[in-house]
Amino acid sequence: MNEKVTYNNSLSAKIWNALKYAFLIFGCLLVIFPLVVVLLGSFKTHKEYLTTEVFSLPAKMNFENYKTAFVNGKVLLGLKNTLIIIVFSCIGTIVTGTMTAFVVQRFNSILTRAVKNAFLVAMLLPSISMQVTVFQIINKLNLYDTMMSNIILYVGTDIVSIYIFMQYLSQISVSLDESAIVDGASYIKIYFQIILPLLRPAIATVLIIKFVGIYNNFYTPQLYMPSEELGVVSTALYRFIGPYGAKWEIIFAGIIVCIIPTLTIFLTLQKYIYSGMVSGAVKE
Amino acid sequence: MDDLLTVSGKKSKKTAKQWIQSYDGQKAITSIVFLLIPVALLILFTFVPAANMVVYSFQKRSQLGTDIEWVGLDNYKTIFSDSSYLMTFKNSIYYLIGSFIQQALALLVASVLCSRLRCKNFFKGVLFFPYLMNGVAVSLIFLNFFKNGDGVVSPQGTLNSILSVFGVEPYTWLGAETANFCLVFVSLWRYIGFDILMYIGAIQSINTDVYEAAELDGANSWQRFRYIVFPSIKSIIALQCILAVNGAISVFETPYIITGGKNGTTTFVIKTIETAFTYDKIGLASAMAMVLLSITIVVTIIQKTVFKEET
Amino acid sequence: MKIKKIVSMLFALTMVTGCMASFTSCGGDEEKTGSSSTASNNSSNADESKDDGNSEEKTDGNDFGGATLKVLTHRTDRIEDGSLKEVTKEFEEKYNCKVEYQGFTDYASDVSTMMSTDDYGDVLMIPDTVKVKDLGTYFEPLGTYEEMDAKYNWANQKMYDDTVYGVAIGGSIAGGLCYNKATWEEAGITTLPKTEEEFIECLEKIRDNTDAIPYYTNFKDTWALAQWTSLVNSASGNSNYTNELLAEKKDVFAEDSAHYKVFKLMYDVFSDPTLIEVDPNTTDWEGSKAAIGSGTIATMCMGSWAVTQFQEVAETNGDDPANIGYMPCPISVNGVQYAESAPDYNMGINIHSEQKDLGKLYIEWYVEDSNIAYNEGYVQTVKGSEMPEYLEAFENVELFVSDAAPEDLVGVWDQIDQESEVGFYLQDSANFKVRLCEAAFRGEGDEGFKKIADEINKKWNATRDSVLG
Repeated sequence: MNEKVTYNNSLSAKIWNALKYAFLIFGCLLVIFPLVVVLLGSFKTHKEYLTTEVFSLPAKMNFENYKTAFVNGKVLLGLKNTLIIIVFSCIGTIVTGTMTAFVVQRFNSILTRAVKNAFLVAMLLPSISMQVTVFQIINKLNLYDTMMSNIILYVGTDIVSIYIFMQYLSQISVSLDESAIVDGASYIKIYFQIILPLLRPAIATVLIIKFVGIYNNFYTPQLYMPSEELGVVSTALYRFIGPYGAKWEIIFAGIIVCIIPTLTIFLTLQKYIYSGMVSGAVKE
Repeated sequence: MDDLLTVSGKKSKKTAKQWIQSYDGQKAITSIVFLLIPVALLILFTFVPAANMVVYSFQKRSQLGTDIEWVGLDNYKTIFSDSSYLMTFKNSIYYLIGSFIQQALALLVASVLCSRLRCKNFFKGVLFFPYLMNGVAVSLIFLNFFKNGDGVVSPQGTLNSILSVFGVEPYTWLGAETANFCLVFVSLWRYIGFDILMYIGAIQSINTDVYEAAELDGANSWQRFRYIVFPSIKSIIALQCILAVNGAISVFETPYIITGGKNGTTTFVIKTIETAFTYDKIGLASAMAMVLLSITIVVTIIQKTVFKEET
Repeated sequence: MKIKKIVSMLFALTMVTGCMASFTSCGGDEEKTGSSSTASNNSSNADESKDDGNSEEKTDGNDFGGATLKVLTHRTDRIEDGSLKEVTKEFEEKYNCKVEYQGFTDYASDVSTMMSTDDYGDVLMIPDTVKVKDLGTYFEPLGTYEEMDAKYNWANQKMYDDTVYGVAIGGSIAGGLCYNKATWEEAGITTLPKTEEEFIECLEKIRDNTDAIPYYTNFKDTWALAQWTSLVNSASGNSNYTNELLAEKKDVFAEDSAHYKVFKLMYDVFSDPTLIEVDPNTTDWEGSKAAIGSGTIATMCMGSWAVTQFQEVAETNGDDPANIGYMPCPISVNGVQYAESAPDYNMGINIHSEQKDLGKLYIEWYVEDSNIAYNEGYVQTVKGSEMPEYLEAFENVELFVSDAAPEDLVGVWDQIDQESEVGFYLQDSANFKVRLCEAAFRGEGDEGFKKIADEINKKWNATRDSVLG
């Protein structure tokens, strides 16, 4: 660190700067190119798609493919089902997660310590390979091919959220609880009037992580909800390959429809998403 | 702290009603009521299946659970001797190497993004966005991206179209020679944004004073990276690389949709699913899940013991 | 030369009858009692139900009070285009019920997964993953073999212990290849191939003389590879072929076995990149349907069920449906070509169903009155029904129906197939069919084939010996 390197500051800095931009622009093009092809293709007619170059503009904005994707391809239904699952899973996770975190974090008893350790151990288990045996349980509960199967799994196996709540709660001073106790408040009251409002930022984080996680999950709905009427965005899109295998322009429309909600949320909540994603990784 | 709480509730023995109203009683009841559902779910969907998995892995059994036969370690032997199972481990190595490259690239991008720059947020946003995209959508996009259209049944894929501008002959990217590389590329494309985000966070947590002092001393970018940035985020890099092992062995979606596991692209998880649901060999599939579980646990133990003090 | 003449005449004949097929299929509907015409003619419902009054016993059992019957099917295309629903109206009206169809693109694997629960519809196509001896666990008995065999073809297919659990929805010539007649003619081929060598020569001619893809592999869709398995019995020319393999403990891939011949033919075709599509990894089944109609694909190995689908697509695209031809497996035994006839999926009734009676009526209606099988070019399930037109090319071919397995071997073939993970009809990514293709695409030659064949023999024999003891 002692050696001082002198160099022509302005010129090499300029080159360096240009290189930096070139590198980043190249990276962004790699991300954008495949998406642009999809966007352009989704407006083309079948004939146009077959005959024109991938980067050529469609002759006119043609929304037929979107109509087909929405109606026959059941993307609309998929969006609806996904939304239902997300809403119920989020409510479930927030209720169970905050309650668990509250008890485990604030009460120190054998029970709560045992529960905390049980959750920490559970975090180690890779959920994807557990499905071989989870499947039988879902089955025995008669939940197979119902939305409940997905909801209950999203709520019941979401340990990351509980962890986030616990982390967040550990940073909230206990003195607030204590003064409430001095005032004679019950624990229930403390939970509802102090803890829950204070956990709001953590809840926002969990909501973001859960939304992205559930919206993009393919494995769970594919395995537990084979019915076409129970298709979510992922599985509805996956099933496109069957009947629309030859019509990529319709598949493209489906892809775009499926990306739009994500993009909208990303653009509006960018900052929260960044921090949410990072705190979602604390598990690992 | 806790003692304080209990003291306030502790008096002498009282009636049941009074106990319930006391803080001790409240505590016990709240604990039970609040934990009942989460713990029940935890047991039902995590611990019971895990226990079943251990037991099944020593059995030969079908989904229905009829004709159960104890086979000792046979299932494990199959996994580590049958070439079609072993191959999936080999494929994990592609993803593992891919994720090392991904780490290096992400680090590079992150440090560039942390330097003085216009449109920082734009670049960051674009590069991060694929991480949020639906995996099925990503897979379909790249199926179309890599295909080698015959112009008869299907038009040319995106990559070959771009390359043809430079006079490159069309190539069958998803053929046996390159399929795994393509899939690793998709995985990199999809996940690198997250690593960039992590590294940006790590770099930004470095004390800027040291950094600026070095700049004033005339240290160039590389030197600043080598002597200031790198040492402070070393442990995060190591952590990410260790976690890449987990990622590499649990790849599923993209190969499942893009190649269906053909051309030697089957992954451990695809193979597990096929064993369980195509061949109805729940015992063998459970053993595979156990192998995956063991790898995850080993990785986590390494992570916890080696990196605990540093992170 | 003589043969050539005969075949060219045959060609002409099939062309004519093929053209006629499109007319007769419309006329056919009217001939077949009033059942299907009422289906399309909803306005006459009211009168029809009054007319029905003369068959009293029917009206008694006819009213199911709007009950819903859930039918699981692999025909997603028929659900998509609404035609299945349209045809079913007739049944719904007759029995005052509602039929709800649920389609699966990946039928066998999705439904097998569903079947580990109780909830798998009321009527469903019995997936081949269900072992014969387990049929009674999942499905309602439909009758004894004797009863069913008197009425229906292939009654022995989903049978255990003399009890029949499934009725075929129709049947087909098990093994054959679809081809575009115009393209084959354009290539200068006048005689359909009877041997492996001739078949490859034909494909080479197509490559040299036309712009078409001589053979389209559909490699991305593993089920399309399984179509080759259905050539095996035809290639053996032996109605007792698989039973003999088991009983005599022969290698399935012995060098003169039908399995060997069929898959070697597939391997040889796939080994020559000039005979197949450029990129087998991204093949497109729906696209290939259109392309064989327009003649840009010349040949595909498919069950005869595919012919009608191809013809329909050709029709909608403005191509001549009569160009879709169907040829027998180009493998001869002592100079004679054989073809096995076999059922498509069998329909069974979920043993947990609450609508078993209605389910039985549905199956009866489907195979006897609906005309679905005939309109789609299937060999019909009801014995003595009319044969579809396009099978003319099979005139000089010996047709046979495979024998049921002897008692001690019932279900054994399936069991070995599954336990050994050979999976002749299965579709996992490490399946030998997939591996043969991969080896062929890599150009591994005869050695590559031999290696995989030996491996399969080894796996198969080890499992067989443990199963048969």
